[in-house]
Amino acid sequence: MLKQVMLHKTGMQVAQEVQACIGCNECLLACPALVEPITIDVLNHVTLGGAIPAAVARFARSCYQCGACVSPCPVGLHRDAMMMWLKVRLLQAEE
Amino acid sequence: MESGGYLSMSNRNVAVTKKRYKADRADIVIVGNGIAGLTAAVEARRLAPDASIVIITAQSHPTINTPALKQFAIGKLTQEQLLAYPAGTELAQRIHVINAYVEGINAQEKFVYLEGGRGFGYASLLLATGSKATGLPQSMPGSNFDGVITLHCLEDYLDLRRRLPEVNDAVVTGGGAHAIETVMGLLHLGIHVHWLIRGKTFLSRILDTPASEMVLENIRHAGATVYTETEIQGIVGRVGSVRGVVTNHDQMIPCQLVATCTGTTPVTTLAEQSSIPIMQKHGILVDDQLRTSVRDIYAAGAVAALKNPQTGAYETRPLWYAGVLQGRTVAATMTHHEELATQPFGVPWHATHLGELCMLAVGDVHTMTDDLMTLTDSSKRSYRRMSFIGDRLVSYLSLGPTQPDSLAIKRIIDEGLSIRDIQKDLLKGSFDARKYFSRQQSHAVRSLITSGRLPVVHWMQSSTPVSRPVVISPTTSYKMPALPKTEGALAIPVLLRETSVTTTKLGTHTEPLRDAEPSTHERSQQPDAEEEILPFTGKLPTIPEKVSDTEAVADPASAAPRSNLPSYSTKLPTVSGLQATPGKRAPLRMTTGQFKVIGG
Amino acid sequence: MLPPNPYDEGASQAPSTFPETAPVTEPLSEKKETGYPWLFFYAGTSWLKGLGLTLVVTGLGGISYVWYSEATHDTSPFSTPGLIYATLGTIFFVLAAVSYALRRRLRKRAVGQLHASLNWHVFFALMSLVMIFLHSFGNFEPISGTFALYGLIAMTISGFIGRLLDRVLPRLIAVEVQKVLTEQGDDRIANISQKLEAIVVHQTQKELHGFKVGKRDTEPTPVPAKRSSPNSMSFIGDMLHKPWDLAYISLEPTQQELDRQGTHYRFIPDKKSAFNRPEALLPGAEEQMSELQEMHTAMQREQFYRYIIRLWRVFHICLALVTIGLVTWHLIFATTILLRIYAH
Repeated sequence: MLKQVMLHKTGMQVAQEVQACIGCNECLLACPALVEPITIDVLNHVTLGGAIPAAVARFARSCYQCGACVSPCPVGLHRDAMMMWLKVRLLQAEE
Repeated sequence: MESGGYLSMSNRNVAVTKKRYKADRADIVIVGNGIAGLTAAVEARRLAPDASIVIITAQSHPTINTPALKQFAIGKLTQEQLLAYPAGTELAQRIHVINAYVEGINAQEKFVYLEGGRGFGYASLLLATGSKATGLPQSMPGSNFDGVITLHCLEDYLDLRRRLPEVNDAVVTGGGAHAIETVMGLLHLGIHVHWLIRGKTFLSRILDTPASEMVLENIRHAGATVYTETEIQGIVGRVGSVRGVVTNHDQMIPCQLVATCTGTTPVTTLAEQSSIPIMQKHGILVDDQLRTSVRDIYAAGAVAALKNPQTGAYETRPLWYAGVLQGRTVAATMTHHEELATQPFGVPWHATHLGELCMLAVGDVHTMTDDLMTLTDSSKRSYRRMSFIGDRLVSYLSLGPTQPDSLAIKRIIDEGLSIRDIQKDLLKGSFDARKYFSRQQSHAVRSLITSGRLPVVHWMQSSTPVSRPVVISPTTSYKMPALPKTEGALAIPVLLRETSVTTTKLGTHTEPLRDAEPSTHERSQQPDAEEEILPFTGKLPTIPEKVSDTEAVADPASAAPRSNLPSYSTKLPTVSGLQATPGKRAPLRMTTGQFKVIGG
Repeated sequence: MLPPNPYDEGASQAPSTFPETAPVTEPLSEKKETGYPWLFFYAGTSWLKGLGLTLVVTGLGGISYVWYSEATHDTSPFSTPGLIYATLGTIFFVLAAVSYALRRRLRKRAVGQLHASLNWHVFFALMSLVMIFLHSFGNFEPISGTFALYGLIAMTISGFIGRLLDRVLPRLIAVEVQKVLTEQGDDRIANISQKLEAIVVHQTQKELHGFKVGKRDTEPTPVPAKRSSPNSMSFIGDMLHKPWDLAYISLEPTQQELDRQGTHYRFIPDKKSAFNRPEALLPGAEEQMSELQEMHTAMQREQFYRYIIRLWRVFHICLALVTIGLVTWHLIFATTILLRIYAH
């Protein structure tokens, strides 16, 4: 039950993972924090850079890093790490 | 290009009526709007904001996430959710999309001709035509019955979705990942699935026998009926619709749907129809910057055959991530940002779901060499197999309920990182890449300060000083600042293979290897940038075997020697004696206050 | 059909751009939000529905409780309203326990359904607590029912704390991660190690070139790799061929001998010397080392916060199991009593 926690990933690792994402949406389907429908292509596009739309910002803030998005991913990516990257970008924007 | 009267093309007899028409032209023309094509276009726009970029595609819809089609088939995703890029990306990026079929290439005059005789000029041409499904042989009886579908593109899956409500039994044929995904999708909808596999094992190119058995057992447990060493002999129908299949064991399996997932072949038609032949062999042959044998023509995606760094064979990589990477790299090459196109593609990497199990295969799993060690760890629900030479990982196969950090493992193989400390974690599937790499770095940093060991200083032939900070561009993957490495090189063990040419049913071939090479060495994969691609020789640029490093050896007459930083012992720093002649004893040392540099 | 040819005039000249089109707005074109405040709250539809139902149920329950208390003097948990409250409380408890867990295991679900299930889990738990409170009619004697109620209270508090932690800890993690990454997202540890490498190499080169006469401390120039024969380069090797008479060597004291006697800093510092620290001869390294230490501390904190999130979830589940046990015990006990009552 108590699996080892995985730390964050760097920006470049996140970019690599976003590129490897096949867009199956399994992570979004497994997410208990996601309220409004967001498409994976928008989420990936926004994670890579640029202004963060309001819906994605809300999602990024709401994500509580439970890791439920990691196990359904067929490619072994870490959506929680990508969301943490979005959180860091929101923090940077705040400063 | 403007012409009056006839537009004459060598090797083609396209008679154009006496119309004066003008050909369009663009700086970058991309044929195909799969993920490699669109990624190349978007990246090219980023690197060359003023270039004109055109995608010419026969596909009727924008770029979609083709791996997600299996979720679409079972209704988990809507059509809109299939888009690979946000809607309107092409327009926003000023990428012009033309819906047309490209019939041929005039490489001398640098234009492609579209159906209807229209020409389109280019400065750089990218062939990203992807692959097509192999399908059933045309000669197979009943292959044209309604209900026999080959699953490959969106239209096929739309067809599948429309049929599913009327299907109780389905036959799926194929021995690859695509087939198992289809089987699982149909099972999910409550359809009884008969899965026919021609070979003895499943996914024989990637999985070994125990792994294959585990997967097949899992699928049987999920409710499918699996037949190995079985293929379709003929399809039985009634009034034009499928009623069942007859196998090579003379067994009749009733069904209402036959789904063919027998692999793909690259679409190399344009390479064949180019006025200057483009080298191809089961894919268009390209170098590491994705240049073909013809100047200003590139290839990327499932159609491009790249060199496998481990086996030396040219193989296509019809996988999503490979397509994305190749798209980015070829965009850098086409826009003359070669410095961004130096990141090697590394070893093949495939991660997917196989039924309830997650599979990760990195590197060449089937290679056997004398000095290759293989460890396996298997339990009821998971299987791991890793092969290594010394402390360098060569290949990694994982099957289990969860997926390991797949990209991190690929990086370990690509960069030749030592797995001494993480061997057990890798075998057990509990490897935390982030923690490992950060610990490595801080350990390296601390030992730099405290061990008193002089770092080995390597200079490239270009005399780049080591003190230049390593530039990590967004397109390169993260690299540890390991001191002894040569920048940009892959440290992949070159493997020997016992078998020579093997032909797989999926259409990819492996070429005979060269003679045995040293098991592990660093080599640069960069072709000589100065070498000109000669269109008529058809030769790809040769890749130099070695990059001779220049070691920093100071002039002995003038430099003061230091073999060590101060070691904080009570002894005076010693000077290691130079071995004047091999085999002779080192001469006595005389401390005269003058010291020699000890090279390296 | 091809688009209009922008090159109708002068097709020989290479066009640089296509006709400009109006920039397309972002796919999600509502206003951009920035920042990551500590306090934020988003009330989705499911949250509002759950809240509404909870208020309605609580209100009705409260009103009925007050009315019944005023109307009769039978404030036993086994009274009719008491049993109604108990039944409703149990139903809500089961729904709270099962709905979210079941939904997680279902394969068919839409985006956002899991979040809605989680909200319902919270509201069903609150409604269950309210109902069980009403069922108790203020009797908190140490019996199985009271223990079950305590379990429910503990679960609710643990759930509430858990939600708070889920709000606070990810933000704390983000703060720590921000310390470890540069603005571009690069690893600061990698940058530090590069700087340290540069410092060490620079210092080493300084020392190397320091012995060269007239050579400035510039970037090192590469020297060809060929190794000259030992005879021509090796001073020590040459000594083999020269007389060993010390008179051939200068009789003046060597620099080391002078250093030993003089008041210069000894080449090997003593333990009390300020130069005893490893980075003493590498100026600038100390700051890098302390930054490295900060990075490590930040990563340790991040790991700690992540473990808290994980552990609290485990704790909540363990508490749930205990509570289920207590409730089951009480139900069995209460059923036995009820059967006895109705049998007579």
